[in-house]
Amino acid sequence: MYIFSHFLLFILLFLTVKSLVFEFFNVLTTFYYLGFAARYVPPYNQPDYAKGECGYDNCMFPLVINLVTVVSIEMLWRFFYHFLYRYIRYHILSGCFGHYAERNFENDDESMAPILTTTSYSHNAVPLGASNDDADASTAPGDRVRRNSSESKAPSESPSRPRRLKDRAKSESPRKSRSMERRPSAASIGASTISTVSALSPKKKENKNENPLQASDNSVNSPSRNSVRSKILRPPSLTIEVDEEEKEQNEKLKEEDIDEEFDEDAENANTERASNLSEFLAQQQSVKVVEGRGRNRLPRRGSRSSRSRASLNQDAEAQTVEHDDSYSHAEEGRSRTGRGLYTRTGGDDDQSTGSRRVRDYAARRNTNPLNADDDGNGFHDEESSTLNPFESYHGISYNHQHEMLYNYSHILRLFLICFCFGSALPGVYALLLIYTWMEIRGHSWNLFYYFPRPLPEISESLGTWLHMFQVVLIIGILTNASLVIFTMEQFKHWETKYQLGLWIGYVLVLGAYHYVLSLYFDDIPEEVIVQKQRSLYIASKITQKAPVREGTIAIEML
Amino acid sequence: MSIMKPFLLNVCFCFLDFLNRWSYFIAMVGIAFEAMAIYYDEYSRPEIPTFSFFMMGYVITMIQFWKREEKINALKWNTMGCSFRDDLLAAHDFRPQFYGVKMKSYVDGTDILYYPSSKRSALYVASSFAMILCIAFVLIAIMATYYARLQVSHTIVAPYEQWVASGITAFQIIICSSMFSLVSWDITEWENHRHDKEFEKSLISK
Repeated sequence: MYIFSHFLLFILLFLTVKSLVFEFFNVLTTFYYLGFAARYVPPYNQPDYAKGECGYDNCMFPLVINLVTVVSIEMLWRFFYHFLYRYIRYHILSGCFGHYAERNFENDDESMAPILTTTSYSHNAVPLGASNDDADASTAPGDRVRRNSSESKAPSESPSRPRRLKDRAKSESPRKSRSMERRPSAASIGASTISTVSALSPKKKENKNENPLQASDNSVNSPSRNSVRSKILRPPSLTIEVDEEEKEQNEKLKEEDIDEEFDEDAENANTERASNLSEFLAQQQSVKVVEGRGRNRLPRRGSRSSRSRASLNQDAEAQTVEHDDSYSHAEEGRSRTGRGLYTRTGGDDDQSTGSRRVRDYAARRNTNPLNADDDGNGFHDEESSTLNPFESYHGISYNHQHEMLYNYSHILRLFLICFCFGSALPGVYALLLIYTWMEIRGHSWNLFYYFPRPLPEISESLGTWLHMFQVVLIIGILTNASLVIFTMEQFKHWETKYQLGLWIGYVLVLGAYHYVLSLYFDDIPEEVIVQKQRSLYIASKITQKAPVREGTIAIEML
Repeated sequence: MSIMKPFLLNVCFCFLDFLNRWSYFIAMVGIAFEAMAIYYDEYSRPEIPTFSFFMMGYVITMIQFWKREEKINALKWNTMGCSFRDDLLAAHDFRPQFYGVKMKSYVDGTDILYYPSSKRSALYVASSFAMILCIAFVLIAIMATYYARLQVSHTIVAPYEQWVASGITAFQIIICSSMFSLVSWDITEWENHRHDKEFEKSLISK
């Protein structure tokens, strides 16, 4: 039992030390073989001048070849992964192979549209419900975003907007200003859709309160299944002709699909909306049908604003639009409020009507009649139970865990190669510079153009990955010392004991430097300590109303 | 790199930016030494050990300064201490995939799921064997690559045998890493971790 318990401890120690083991073997085995072992292997089919199995008169040259080839191919692979792979996957698979069509994704599905787009956008479009004067003031979706937000600030007054983007939007020509216009944030879309999803599915109601992303559901009512289904199966369109057709279809379906929860208030609202529909259609005349991705799904003139989740939640409490499954009512709701489809009024109205606000494209995206559950809503509880609701709803999103693991491990791999065997080829650090630049640009490009905005997570540090990099540093010190002293030609005439002594001195000096540096340079800078002290002092004055006292707060309070 | 600042998604961008800034000096010095090595056509130049020694010192300094920059960024983003808060919160959040036996907690008497430590140790041993198998597969692939290199020594490819072998090695690294990232996920799921933090640590360790 004693031996067994120690064996278990050994296994656990091995498991903790198993960090980097696979990457170490996978990446560095060939380098270690060429650098340290190949010279001692009996030559086979090698030229006479070859040193062992190195193939050349010294083992540094094949090591250099290996280093250049591996690093270059890794960089090319990352370039392909960041730029070409996404392009192929989205543009080709989505259309040709129907990969996304299975999930009701479409090429022009706006929910797949990136946050920033290079496609043209209606620059002169007037937000629904807004006057033409507002259109003049509004020069970019960003302005409309801010104006439509709960703060209702005028574009020129919003202090938080970056001046650069704002000035560019105003000063540049319409063509240029369209190049980097901001689309609705997928996160803001997801937040409201999550609340919609939760209300649509009876099962999701149980987990409603556990979802931190959900907006307050006080103003949200359960939709009728038929209303949702009718909306889902009839994707809306921006064109006026389609709208009229849609309107007819919706009216027909409305007659067919009886919404039991539809009460008199909604009916009255319908008549009002119908009367104002003509105004809305007249306004639509000035809308330019835009080309490009999402042309049939693009938001109408600022109806889909890039709003934060917080503003959506505020709006959910402040305002609501009662509408039924008729698309025209949704349009009317936009024209009446001037804010867009996704505004609500709070209070009792929502509960009384029984109607529900549904995001057309989101509902359409989520439902595949082939995969519909018994309720016909088409929600996959298995997915939603295990995945982030945003991810399960949209299907394609930035899988944070997987991407971070994959990307960090690749950075670690390059780090390992360059810092362990960089002495063989000093120019490999220039490749490392290009690699880091490419990684930054590649990640940014993907997050801007191919993924919806991912849900941010609080992160204080690299965490475990920092420990991995420190392990890489130790391995690098040992490897570099061995490479320089035992493999290179400078010290080959030295005796073994002097070589070993030099190796020990190399490692000890660097280790001592590391130790001294960690003592002298604390992990927490002095500025951070001072700022923390200041914050605690202010907090103590505000919350605890601490009396004035001399001296600073003790560092132990940090 | 002002594009880095708005990203509060994680520290990855910040670290890449930091690495990029610190790589400028290394790259310039490395290019200078590389130029000398190419000029003299010798990769065992006498100044290379000096370059290696000071480069390691530079990397040690870089890591130390990164720790400081982490704290500064955490203060700027108001995420300082979040890991402690997350640990407290995560202590009560079990992973949905976690399975075990229901029992009463010794702390507060509530119902909790318990997974016996003996079984957990057995799972760890099994996952270690799985990892050893993966490593063995990698070693076999590398040996096969260099065996193939030996066989082409007297063919038309002979002058470029090392280039070919290195290219095959690079693709083998990419393929094996991709495959192992999938396998490691399953292995870590198999280990039946209670919390997400433990799961991530075990996954990263692999």
